[in-house]
Amino acid sequence: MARHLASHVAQLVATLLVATAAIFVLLRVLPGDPAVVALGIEASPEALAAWRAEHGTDGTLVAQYLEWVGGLLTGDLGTSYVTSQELTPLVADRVQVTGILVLLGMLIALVVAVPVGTLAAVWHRNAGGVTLSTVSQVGVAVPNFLVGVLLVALFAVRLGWLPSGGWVAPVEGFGEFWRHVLLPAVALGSVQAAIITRYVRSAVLEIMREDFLRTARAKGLTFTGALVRHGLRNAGVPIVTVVGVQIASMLIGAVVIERVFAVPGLGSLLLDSVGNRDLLAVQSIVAVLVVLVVLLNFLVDLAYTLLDPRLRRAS
Amino acid sequence: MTDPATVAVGQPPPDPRTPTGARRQPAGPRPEARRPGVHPQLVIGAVLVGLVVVTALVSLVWTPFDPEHAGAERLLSPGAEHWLGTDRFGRDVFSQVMAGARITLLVGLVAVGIAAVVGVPLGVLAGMRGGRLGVLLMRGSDILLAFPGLLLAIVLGAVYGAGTVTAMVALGIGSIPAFARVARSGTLQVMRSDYVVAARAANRGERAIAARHVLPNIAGTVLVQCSVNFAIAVLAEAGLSFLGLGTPPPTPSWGRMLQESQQFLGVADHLAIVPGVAIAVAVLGFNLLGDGLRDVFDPRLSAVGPHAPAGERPSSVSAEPVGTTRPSVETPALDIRDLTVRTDSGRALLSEVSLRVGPGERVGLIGESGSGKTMTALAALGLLPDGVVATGQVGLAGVPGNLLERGERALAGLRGEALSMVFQEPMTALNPLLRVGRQVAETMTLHGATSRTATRRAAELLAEVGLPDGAARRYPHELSGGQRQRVVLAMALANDPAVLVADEPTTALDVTVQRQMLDLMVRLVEDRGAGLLFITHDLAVVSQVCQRVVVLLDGVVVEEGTVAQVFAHPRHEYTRRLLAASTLEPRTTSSVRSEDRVAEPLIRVEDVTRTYQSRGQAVHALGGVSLEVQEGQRFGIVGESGSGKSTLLRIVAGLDRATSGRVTSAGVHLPAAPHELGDLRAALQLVFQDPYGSLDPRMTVGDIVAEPLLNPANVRVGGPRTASARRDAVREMLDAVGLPLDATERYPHQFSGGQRQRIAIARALVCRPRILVADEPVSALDVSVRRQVLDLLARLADEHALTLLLVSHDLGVVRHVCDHVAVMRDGLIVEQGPADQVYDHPQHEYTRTLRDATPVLRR
Repeated sequence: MARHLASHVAQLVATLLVATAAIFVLLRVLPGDPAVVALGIEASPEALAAWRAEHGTDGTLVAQYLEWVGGLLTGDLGTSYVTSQELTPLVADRVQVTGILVLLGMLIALVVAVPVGTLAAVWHRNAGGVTLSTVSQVGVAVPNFLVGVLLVALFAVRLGWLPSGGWVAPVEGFGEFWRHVLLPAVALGSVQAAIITRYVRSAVLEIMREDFLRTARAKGLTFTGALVRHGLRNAGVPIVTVVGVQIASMLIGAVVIERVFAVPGLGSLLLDSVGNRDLLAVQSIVAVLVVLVVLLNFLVDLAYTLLDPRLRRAS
Repeated sequence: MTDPATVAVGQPPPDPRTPTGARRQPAGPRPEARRPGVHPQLVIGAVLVGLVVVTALVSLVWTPFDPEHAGAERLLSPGAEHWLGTDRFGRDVFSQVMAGARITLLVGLVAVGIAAVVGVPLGVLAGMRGGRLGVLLMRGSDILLAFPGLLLAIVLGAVYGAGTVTAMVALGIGSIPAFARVARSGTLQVMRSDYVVAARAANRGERAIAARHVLPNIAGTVLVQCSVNFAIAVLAEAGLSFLGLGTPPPTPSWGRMLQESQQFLGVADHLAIVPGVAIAVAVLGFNLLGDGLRDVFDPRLSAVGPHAPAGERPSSVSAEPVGTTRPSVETPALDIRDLTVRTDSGRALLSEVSLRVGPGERVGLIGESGSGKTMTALAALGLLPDGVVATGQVGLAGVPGNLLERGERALAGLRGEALSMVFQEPMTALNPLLRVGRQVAETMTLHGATSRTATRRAAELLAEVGLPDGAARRYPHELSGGQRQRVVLAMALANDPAVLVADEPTTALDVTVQRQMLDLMVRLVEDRGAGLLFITHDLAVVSQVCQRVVVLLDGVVVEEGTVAQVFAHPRHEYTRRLLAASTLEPRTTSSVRSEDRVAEPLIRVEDVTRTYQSRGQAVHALGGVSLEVQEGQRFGIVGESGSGKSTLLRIVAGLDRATSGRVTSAGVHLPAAPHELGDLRAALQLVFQDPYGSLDPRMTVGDIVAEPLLNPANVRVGGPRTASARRDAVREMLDAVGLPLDATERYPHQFSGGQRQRIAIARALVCRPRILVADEPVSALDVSVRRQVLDLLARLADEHALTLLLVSHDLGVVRHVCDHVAVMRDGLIVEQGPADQVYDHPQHEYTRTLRDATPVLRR
C-alpha cells in the first residue's frame, strides 16, 4: 500500500512538472518577451529593462520557470502585468465561487443520475428503461449553456422568480446566495446528470451480468435485494472514477455557464484575462485549473484503491 | 463537456490469479456471431448526421436568403417568408442555421482527423511495443488529459488569437488521449490473442501483424470513437463560439447565434431555441451513431442465449427417450415435471424435462454444451436469465405448490434455505468487495439468523469445508480457485438445504483439487441427508459421485436410470457414443524405434529456469527443467495449473526466453538471432487451447490457413509460392483435417468449437513443419468432439512424420496420444519416461496422486 501510494505520488509530481512546464512554454515563452508585449516594440531598452526588473522577468527562462513554480507551491501567483493586482487573493476568491458551483452541480447530477441510471438498467428490456435511456441520450446532446439560456428565459425573464445572473457569496446572505446559485447549478448539473445517468446505467448493466449477483440470489436475495446489497457497491467503483473525471471537466465547462449567468468565477477571470492579454494571469489561472484536474485524477486513483480490495497490495 | 465513451474510466487490472489454463465447459459458441438486423440507434443516428451533412452541402449552393445579408425586418417571428424568423440585424435565421452546419462539420472533421491521425498510431505503437516506450507514450497522453480541449482552445486563443483554426487544432489536440487510449487497449487485446501468437509463430513480422490483425480488429472501436468525438467537438465548438472564441463574425455559427440571442430572451426566444436544437440534433446524431456502431462492433452485446453448435453432434441420433424406469421414490426432495424453457422468440431450450431427486439421493445430469443442463438448474431455482420463460412443474418436498408459479420474493425465501446451488466458475461467483466470512454469514442472516450466530456459524462452516483459520477475514481474490469453490459450498450448505444443485462445480478446478472437492461435497451432502443434483459433462465424475443419472440431449431427456445400469448397458445411441468417446484407451504402439534414440534430439532443454516479475514479486515459473524430444516422438507434458507447462512450451517455441539454461529447438539454439528464429518458425507450429480466441474473427478461413505461407521463409523448397498454389495447399490441408472445401470463404464464427480446432490444426500444418506443439488442444471441447480431434492429431502426426509436443492437464489425453510423458509440478519435472511406465508404475508421489485423482469411468 505504501509502495503503491509512493509510486502514485511520484507520478503526480512528474505530471505536474511536465504540465506546468508546458503551460510556461505555451504562455510565457512562445508569445515572446512580456516586456515588449506590455510596452510595445517602440519602447526604449531602458524602459524594457526597468519593466523586466520590476516584474521579475530578467532572469533566464529556467530561473523564471522555477520562480513561478515556487510561487505556485507557496501560494504566490505573482502580480498581474496589466492591472498590477495581486493575483493570489483574486484567484482564491474565484476558485471558491467556481468550486461551490461545480460541487452543487455535481450533487444535483448525482441525486438524479444514480436512481435514474439504475432504473434504466434494471428496466432495460421494457419501455420505461428505453424512455429513461432515450431522455438521458438527448440530455447528453444539449449544451449546458442552452439549458442556462432557457432557464433564464423561463425563471428570470418570464416568471421573474429568480435573478438572471450575478453572484452573492454565502457569507453575504444565505437566502440571496441560494437565489443566485440555483439556476447556474441546475444548468451545470442537469447535463451532467444525463451524462452520469448513462455511466450508471452501463455500470449497473455490467454488474447485472456478474456471476456473483446470481450467487447472491441463490443465497436467498431477491433480484432487487441482490442488486442493492451486492451490485451497487461494485457498480460504485467505476462510477466514482467517472464522478472525479466529470468534476474535472465541469471545472473547465463552468467557464461557459459563468458567462451565461455573469458569475464571477475562475472561468470569467480567465476569459477577462485573455481579453486583456494579461498573460501572467492566464498562465497562473490555467496552472491552478490544471493542478486541480490532476489532483482530482490522483484522488480518484486513490479512491479506487480504497474501494476495491483487489487493488490493495496483499501483505 | 465529456461524453461517457471517451472518459478514461480506470478499469481494474485483470485479476492476476485467474488461471489462464482454467478449463471450462464451453457454453456454446462465443458470441462473435453478429446478430443480423438493424440497430435503431444506428439508423436514427445516421439519419440525423445525414441531415446535418446534407444541410451543410446544400447551404453551399442554396439558402433561402444570404445568411450574412441583413436585409429584412429585425427580430421577426417565424413566418411564411422567413421560416424561422430573423435576428437582430434582420438576417434570415433559417439560412444562418443552414450555413452554421458548415462550420460545425468543418471543425468536427478537422478536430477528429487530427486526434485520430496522431492518437491511433501512438496507441497502436504503445500497445504493440509495450515496455518503456509504451509507458512513456501513455504518460504523455495522460498529461494531455489535464488539458481539456476547451481550456486548450482558450489558452491558444490567448496566445495566437481566437478563430476557427485555433479551435480546430485545440479540440483536436485535446482529443488525442481519448484516441490513443482506445487504440492502445484495443491493440493490447489483439496482441494478447492466440491468433497473434500464431502469426508470430508463423514468422510474420510486426508490420504484417499490425496491418493484418491489429488494424482490422480495432477499426470498429476507432470508428466509434470518431463518431463520439465528433459529438464532443460539435459541443465544444458551440461553447467556444458562445464565448466569442470560435469562428469570428460574420460567418454564421450556431454557438454565436445562441450567445447573441441572450439579450432578446423573452422578446425573441426562437433565436435561442433554433440554434440550440440544431446543436442538439448534431450531437445526438453523432452520439447515437457511435452507440449504434458500438453495438455492431462489440461482440458481447450481440450475444443471444446459448446456441447449439451445428455439424458436430451426430444428427442421426434420435431424441426419443429410453429407459424411463423411474425409481419409486415416495416423496422426492426435488421433483421436476415437464419442464419446458423457451426463448422469447419461441425456440425451445428444454422440452418437457422430468427428473426427480430423492431425499439423500445423488443424481447426475449429463449433457454436452448446449444440451440445457444449466438451464434446468436455473429454472428450478427461478434464476433464469431475461428473455427465457419456463413452464411445467417444479416441486420441492415440504413446500406446497409449483415453484415456477411463485413470485421472486417467495422464491428467494426458498433459495439458500431449502434449495441451494453451487456454480461452475469459482473465480467470479463471489462478490469481490466483501470478505468471504460475511458472504457466508449473509446466507444465514437472510433466512432469519442473528448476525452474531451467523458470523460464528460462518467460521465453523468455513472450517468444515477445510479452509484454514482466519479464512473468513479474507477477500475472494486472496483465495485460490479451489478455496473459493469451498466458500461457495459452505454458503450453499449453511442452512442445511433439502436439495443442493451443483452445476459443473469442479470443471474449472485442477484434477487433484477436484478430487478433494468431490469427496468433500459427497460427505457434507450425506451428513445432511440432502439430495444432490450434480450437473456435469464428465461421465467419469458422475460414475464416482452419483447413484442415478439423467442424460440430456438438445433439451430432451434421452435416458435415465441407475449409474450401474446406464453405464454398463446404455440403451440410447447417444449415451453409447458419449460413453465410447469418454473412454480414452492408452496408445499401444510406440513411434520411436530404439535405434533412433542415438540421434541428436530434435528438442533439447537443459536446466531451464524462467523467472518473471509480477507486482514487484519474483515468480519462478520454471525452476530448472531438462528434457529431450526425439525426432518422430510424441511427447506429452502433464501438469496442473501453475505447473509451468505452458511457459516451457512457449520457450521451446521461441515465444518466450528462458532466464537461464540452454534450449535447442529444431537445430536452433535459443534465444536466437532473428534469421535463425525464422528457421525455427518454419519448423515448429502451434495449436492452442481456445479455438474461439485463436482464429482472427475478421479473416476468412482460407486467409487464416494461408497466412503462414505468406512468409516465403516458411515455404519449403518446391512448396506453394504463388497465390493459386497457396489456394491449392489450403484446400488440401482443409481436406486433410476433414473440413468441407467451401470453408475457405467462411468466417470462424460460422464454425463449431471442434471445427475451429481443425482449422487451427490446418493452419499449423500448412507449411509442413517438423514439430507440432499443442497446448491443451482439446480441453475446451465437448467429450464427443475431443476424441475426434485427438485422433485427427495422431493420424496427421503419422502422415506428416511430425514430432508432437502435447501439453495437457489430463493424464488420459496424454496417454491416449503420446508415447512419452513428463509430469510437471511447481515449475519442475518430477518424473518422465515412457507413458505406460509412468502411468502404471509411477515413481513419484505426485504422479501417483495425479493418476489416482483423475476420474475414471466405472462401468
